[in-house]
Amino acid sequence: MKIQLRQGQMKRVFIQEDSEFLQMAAKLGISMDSEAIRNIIAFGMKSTHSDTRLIQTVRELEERKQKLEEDFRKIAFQSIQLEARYVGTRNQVARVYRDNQVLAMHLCAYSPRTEHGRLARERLIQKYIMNAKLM
Amino acid sequence: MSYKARLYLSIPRDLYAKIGSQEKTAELVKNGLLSLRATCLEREVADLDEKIQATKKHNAELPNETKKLERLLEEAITDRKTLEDLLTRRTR
Repeated sequence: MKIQLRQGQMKRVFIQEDSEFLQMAAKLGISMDSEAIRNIIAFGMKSTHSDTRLIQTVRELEERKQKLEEDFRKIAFQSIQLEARYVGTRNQVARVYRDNQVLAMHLCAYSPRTEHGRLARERLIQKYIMNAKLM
Repeated sequence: MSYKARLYLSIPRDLYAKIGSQEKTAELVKNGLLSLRATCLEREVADLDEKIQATKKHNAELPNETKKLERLLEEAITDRKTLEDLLTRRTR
């Protein structure tokens, strides 16, 4: 890096054919204006580690992030499969429940002759019409 | 866009005076960017970890919820059969 000093309020640091800063700034999504530079330098001053240690830490964190992303992809795929099964079963329940409501309405106009039939009719009308839940 | 393009970093004069040298300025900018990158990565890793734990918990709960629904489905199918039987007897 070559640094040129200019007159005025600011010192202008000229970076020649050095992509390191720009690449890092691009990764972070930050501009390199004077305010950002002030904050970045403040960060640098606060840092108690050497650049070698920081590079190592960044590398380790990037590896850890990559591994977690892979894990998350696997778990998310499993989640999609489980949810598909759950939603499929829920839709089936809703469909059969609605069919039963229609059948129970037809049953309202009919009185079975046997005691067993009457009890079943009463239970089913109670369940599918009187206590009907929205599925 | 080429990253080999020329770049000027404007550094406030007071700050430059405090730092003292060009090399030190470059080192601080580099360390600052690295610190910032490490902080961002730490946050991203923590977020991912949290998302993984939440998804694992959700995945552990889903089979039980599906089983409950399967039991409801069995019950509803039995009821449908009973309803159909009762209505068939009516038409005989």
